[in-house]
Order: sequence, then structure tokens, then C-alpha cells
Amino acid sequence: MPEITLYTVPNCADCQAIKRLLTRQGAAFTEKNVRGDPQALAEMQARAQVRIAPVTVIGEQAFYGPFDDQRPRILAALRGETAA
Amino acid sequence: MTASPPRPDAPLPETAHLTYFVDGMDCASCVQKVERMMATLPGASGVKTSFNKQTLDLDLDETRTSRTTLEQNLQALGYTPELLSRAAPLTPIEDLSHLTYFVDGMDCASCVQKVERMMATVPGASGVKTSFNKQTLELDLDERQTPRALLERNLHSLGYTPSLQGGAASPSAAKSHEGHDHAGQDHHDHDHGSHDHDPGGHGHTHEIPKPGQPWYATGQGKLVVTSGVLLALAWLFGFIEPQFATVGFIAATLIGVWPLAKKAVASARFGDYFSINTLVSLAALGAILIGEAAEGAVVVFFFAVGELLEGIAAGRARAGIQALAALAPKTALLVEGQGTREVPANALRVGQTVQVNPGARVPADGTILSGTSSLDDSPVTGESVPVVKSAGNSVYAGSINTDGVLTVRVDKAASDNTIARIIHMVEEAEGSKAPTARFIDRFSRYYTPGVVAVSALVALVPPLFFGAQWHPWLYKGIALLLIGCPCALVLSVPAAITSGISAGTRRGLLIKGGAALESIGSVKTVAFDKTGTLTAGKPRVTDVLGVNLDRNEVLRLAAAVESGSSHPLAKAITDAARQGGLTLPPVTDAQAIPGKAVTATVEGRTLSVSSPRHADTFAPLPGSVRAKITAFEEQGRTAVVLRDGTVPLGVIAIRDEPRPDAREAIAQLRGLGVQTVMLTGDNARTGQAIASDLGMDVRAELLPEDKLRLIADLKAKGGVAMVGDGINDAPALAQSDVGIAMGGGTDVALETADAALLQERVTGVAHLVSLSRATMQNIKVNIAFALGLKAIFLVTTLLGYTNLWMAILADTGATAIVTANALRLLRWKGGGPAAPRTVTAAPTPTRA
Repeated sequence: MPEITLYTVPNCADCQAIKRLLTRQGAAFTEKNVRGDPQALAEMQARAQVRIAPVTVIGEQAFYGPFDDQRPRILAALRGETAA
Repeated sequence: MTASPPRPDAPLPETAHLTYFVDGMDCASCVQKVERMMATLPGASGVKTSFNKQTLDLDLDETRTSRTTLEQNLQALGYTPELLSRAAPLTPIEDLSHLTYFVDGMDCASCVQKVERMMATVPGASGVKTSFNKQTLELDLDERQTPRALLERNLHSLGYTPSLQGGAASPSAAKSHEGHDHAGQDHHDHDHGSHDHDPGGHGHTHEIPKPGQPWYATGQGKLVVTSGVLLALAWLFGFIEPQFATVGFIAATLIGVWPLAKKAVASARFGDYFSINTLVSLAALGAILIGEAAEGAVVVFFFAVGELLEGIAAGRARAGIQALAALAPKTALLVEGQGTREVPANALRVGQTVQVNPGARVPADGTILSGTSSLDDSPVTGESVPVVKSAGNSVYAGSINTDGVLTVRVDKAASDNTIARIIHMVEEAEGSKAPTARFIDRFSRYYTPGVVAVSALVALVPPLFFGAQWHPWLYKGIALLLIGCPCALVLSVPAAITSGISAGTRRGLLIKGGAALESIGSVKTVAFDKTGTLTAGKPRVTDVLGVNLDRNEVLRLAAAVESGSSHPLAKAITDAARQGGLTLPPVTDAQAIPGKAVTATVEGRTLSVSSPRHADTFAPLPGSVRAKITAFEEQGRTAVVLRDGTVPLGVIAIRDEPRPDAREAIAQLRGLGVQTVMLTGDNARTGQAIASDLGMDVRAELLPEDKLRLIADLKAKGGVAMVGDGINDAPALAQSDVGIAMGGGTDVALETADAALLQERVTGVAHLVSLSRATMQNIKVNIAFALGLKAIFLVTTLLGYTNLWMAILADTGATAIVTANALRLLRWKGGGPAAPRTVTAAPTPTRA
């Protein structure tokens, strides 16, 4: 299983949705709240060049954007990794 | 064409180009919220948000909306804007290329709309502008997300030929991030690496009872038939050769008990020493030992019948859901070049184009590229009234295309389409246990060993210590074992929950789990989000006022002027005209001054539709008209003015109306004894106006955190359900006891909420509450029945009035009745006739 990090902020619909998706898929992940945490924010920017949560980093791949955009890519990444 | 990138069109002189860093706009849903707010601001155009920089870019006509208003609006949403630059030309974002295409063939208003709608679905495209005068399409494209070639191919597939103008800056495409590739787009010359959707990789293989299989062909069915036949043979044999009859009964018992004993041993190995199978096996063997083989055989036979019924019940509940999956067609017509080719539907890949003929079912979730048709979406939404859809609308796999020919771009692979996901969620939901089910599980964990212990005591104590006869007490002990068998009890909850969830799904109520189903019925308060939940989020014409002109005439002319525009307000006006059965006259010289006015020549007159403020700048409006406009605006409506030159012809008021069934839904909920409250970030006046129309409480001017706090307060007073449109309400949905999303199959809604209303009707909430209550009532009846019957037979057997096989019959009977009762839920209709889509008349307060 690749390491999964999810960068979130509180009260964010898409963040919640991705959390539920990952949980439902049985994927363990580390959640980092980037609001009010400059270090996490810097880390997220370094990994994805993006300031806006949610950002999902699975292994070497980083996804950003609304849930609908991320969902198929997260699933593909999870599948790809488990099949390998 | 003088296209000088990056900005061929110099902004209008009074327009300021602003760039804000927006503190707090740090999540995707926040970005959407800001974008939605910006869309309502008059004078704002070219709105762009950057995920990379957390910035908001726009051209603002400050004569229409002052910068202060814009900033106040952002602050009201909870964000702090910080102006980075002003009037400076857009600093080109490194990964964005600014493209200007001349689009051959895009020469009518509806063609432009088609292109705009398609562009809205292109990832990475922003600042899309089409020019009516130059027949051009302008956009900023993030080519890491969508390569230019794909965009061009999309335009081609719509029937247009784009030609790139000017030497648009080449993208810094070298920085292609593997992970940022949109797997949603598929094309032949672009390697996708690990993003490929593997159609076989996600298949579900749990086909429990095959739908078409008759009951006697299942393993359990064979057991019932075999033990039944053996039992009958042994019984008949008893008339011929009584001494061999016993042998026959013993054989029947042993053959019948063999699979049960195997299961009992298996579960004992996993630590469950006192399963139902153990009880029955012990009792059957005990019956043989005490010389009551006939009763042993009856025991096994009836038990097998009970298990069979249980299997059939579960199968029936699931088959209804599984049948939905079968509705998606097995083959699709893939569009290739000029023709079509039939391919298996599950081999379709994202990005391909398929043709759907009239009468056929849509093979995949996708977006209509061309054609208009009525689609019956009932497999997904439960709504059997066909919905008219055309280019740009989404379609679901399994929907029936009733009339026109459609070409559809495939957006999701077969294993990932909406039906497949709903079925998957229902299957998971049926597996997840309701609190009551968990209680019964715990209960039977102590109860079953208890029964064994008591049976043993009854069988052993009187003969051992009180010198009673062995046979009658052993007999009673064994009877007790069987009476104690908690089949009906254990079955009662899952059967009802499965049936309830299935019944809901087939009516467009997706409930994600027994716990949600159980708690919905017990909530004290239902909190509703306003926009997109109680209201449709689509503005509609409420009033038409003519100045020396007939109302219909005003509407007819205004709709004609607006017929080429895709603005929501324009759409409201043209919709109203269509509903009024008005035929629109042809228009020429249609022109839009974005955000201000639309002008056109209609029947020889130069007409315009504009905001009152814009109209005022030409010629002051008469006092009576102005007073009316003020009144409309105080009612939270938007007013537009139709003018002939400078002469006002009429005023049209537009409002985001409550959904037609919202009033009825609130009344139904009140009838069920549930409090309702509207939560809105809107101003108190609008909120109050709409809430009092609907007859409910309101809390207005709420920030997102206020909503959370209010829900926590309500929670302290009993269960609270939150109903939202699922896109921006996820935190509130998560905070409440039950989150109900209003969302016709949107991903965020399906994922975050505990329940989703697939057909966007507010009455669905009341239906959920009554379905939940019906289910819980069903469970209570089942439990009472199962326990009551046991109590009766316990007493009568101990007193010696009833014998073993009557006890068995009673247990099987209870199982059958409980099962039948649970299956009754499958026919649940939603408490009365299915809510018709009636538009409620004038707001007269009703008391339920």
C-alpha cells in the first residue's frame, strides 16, 4: 500500500467526501489540516504546487480539485497500486 | 483579426482588472462557493480562480458593482480578500495558455451555447469567452489537464472546425505532472499509464441467489425437497412396515441434519459454539436418542423450510436492486468516423462517443453531445416521468431514450457508473448494521447459550435429583432447545432493514446503512439548507408588469430578445414564455452587453432587456414603475426592464422559487411530528419571505460555522437531520445525526451523506422519515411476535400441552410470518399516493 496523505481544511465538503471515499476503500491515510498550519501548507505546495484543499497525495501522485475530478483518479491510483 | 496575446480584447475603459488573494478560500468547495457568488454579481466578468495561488481574478465594471460591495460579499462568505493588483493586465499564469479560436460553423446563438456548455466540462479551461461578433472562442487552457488537441477534437465532434488565431503563447507543457492528468479524458495518442480504467478490475462477483433460479434448484431447496420426500416416504412406510418406519425417520433426520451439523462445527471452530445450527443439530440427534426419530425428522424438515424462506426473502429484496444493474444494456453503438459499431458496453472507455437510438437504453454515464430527447431516468432516480435533455446535459446508464437520437460522450466506465455505484452502496448499506440489529446480535450471544443451559437443566435435573422419569424430561429439554431457537428473532431485523433499504432505493431514496435508516425516523428536527434544497437554485419569472402593454406581450418580446442568451435570468424569461405557450418572433441583430443588457431588433423595433439601474442611465424610469421595482426587490426578487429605445414597456420580476413540492414536504413533516427549520446565509428578508411561504422556521444570515453551531444546539434537543444539496453542505451533513443530500446522483452528495434523494424532491425527506418509521414498526412487530410465540410455547410445552413438532411448527411459522411481514416493506409506497408534482397555489397557511 502506498503512503497516502490527504491535505484538508475544516468545513470543506470535498475534503469530507474524499475522507469517506478513502475510508470506504479501506485505504489508510494521514490527514493534515493546512489551515493555520504554515508547515503543512508549505508541504502541500511543495508536493502539488497547489494552495487549495483537498489535495490527495498517493505515493508519487498528487491530485487536486473538486471531489468529482479527484474521485476517478484516486480510485485508479488505488487500483493501480494494489494490482502492482 | 488583430489577436495580440495574451489579451486580444482590451478591457472596457470602465472595467478594472482585479486580482485578489482570498484568505480562507482554501478548499475546492470554497472556490465553488466564491465562483457561484461571483456569477450573481452584476458587472463581474472573466472570473477566474487559481488553485495554485489561491487567488481570484476578475474584470469588474465598477459602475455596476463597487469594489467595496465585492469585498463585503466575500467577507460575508467568510473570506478575507486582499487586493494584489489592479488594472494591470493579467499576469500570465505559467501553465495557462491563452487561446483564441475562430470557430467555423459556430454561427448561431444555440451553437455558441453548445460550445460554451461543452467548454464548461473541459478540465483546465477557464475564462471561456465567446464572441458573437467575431465568431471566436477565447479561453485560458491548462494544457496539463486538457491538451489542446483534445479540445479541438471535442469541437470537431460537435461539428465545428476551430482554427487557432495569433501566435498564442506556447504552454510550458514540459512540466507535465503525471498525477495531474485527467483520467476523465481519454484519447488515442496520449499515454495514460496507470490511469487506465480497467473494465474488469472492479467487477462485483457476489451473485448470491441468481434471479432466475427457482427455489428448488438452490442447495437449501434441495435439502428441503430431499428431507421432505424422505419424511413422507418414512411416514407412508409406517403404514406398511411399522418396524422399518423408524429407520426411515432416522435416515431422514440424519440426512437432513448433516449440512446443519457441518455448519455448526464450522461456526464452532470460529468461536461461535451456540449457533442456531448447533441447537437444531443437538435437538434432532437428541430426538433420535430418545426414540422420537419421527419428530426429529419433522424438526429438520421445518427448519430447512424456515431457512429456505429466509433465503428467498433476502434474495427477493436484493433481486430488486440487482435488477437495476441488468437495466444497463450489454452493448453500445460506438461512433467511429462516419458509422457506428456495436461493442460490449463494459468495454466502453471514458471519452468515447456512443450513439443512442430512440427506444434504446443509455449504455454509459455520459454527456449529450448532440440531439434532444426525453429520457426516463427511473432506474437511477426512481422518477418515471421522462426528463427532456439536450446537448450538455448528463445522462445515466440504464435510462431509456424515449424519442430522439443522441450522441453521448462516455464519462464513466461501466464499473463506475452511477447505477453500479448505487448498487454497491446499497449492498454495503445492507451489510452495515442498525443499532437494533447490533443489540439483537449481542442479545443472542447470551441468549442462545442460556437456552442450551436451561434445556440441559430441564432435561437433567428432575430425573437426576427428583427421581422423575428420564424420557418426558429429556423430551421437554429437547423441545426447549428448539423453542429457544432464535431464528425468527435474529431474522426479524436484517430482513426488515434489507427490505426497507431496497424499497427506498427503488423510489429514489438512497439510504446508506441500517443505522441511518433507523435514526431518520426518530429525529426531532429537520434542518434544511435553502438554496438548491428548498429552492431549485434556478430563478423563475414571478411577475410580469406591462406599461400600457399586455403582460403576455411583454413576456413575448422580452423572451424574443433574450432567446439567444444563456444567462440564468434570460433562461427564466424564455422558459416562462414557453410555458405560457407564446410563439417568439424572429430576432435580428441580437447583441449582449455582458451583465448589463441584451438588445435585439424584433418586429422592426429595437428592444432591450436590462437591469433597472442600466435602464435609468438612458432615461429615468417613471415613478410608478420605479415604485413597483422597489417593491419587487424588497420581496427578494430581481427585476428587469423591457424597453423600446428609451420607452419602458414592462417589468419582469424573477425569483429563485421554492421547489414545487417544498410546501407539501414541510406540511408532511409537520404531520409526522417533526420540526423543520431553514438555515440560510441569505439576508433575513429573503429568508423570512420564503420560509413563511413554506410555513417553517428560519435562521438567516448564517456563516458556515453558525450552521454547525445551530445543528449542535438542535442535536442537544434530540435527533437532527440536515438536508442540503450536498455540494457545499458536507460539514453540516456530517455534523448532524443524519445527513440527507439532495443530489441527482452527484458524486459529492452520494459520497458524503447518509442518505441521498436521487430525484430532487423535498417530499423525499418526509418519505424517508415515514419509511424509517414503517421499518422500525415492522421490526418491533417482528420481535414482539417472535418472542411472544416462544413464550407461549415455552409454557405450554413445559406444562405438557404441546409437543416437539408443534413447537417446531410454531418456530417455522414465526419465521415465515416475520419474513412475510418484512417483505411487505418492499411494497412500501411512501405513505399514501406518490407525491404528484403539483404546483401549490397561493400561499395559504395550512396546519397539519
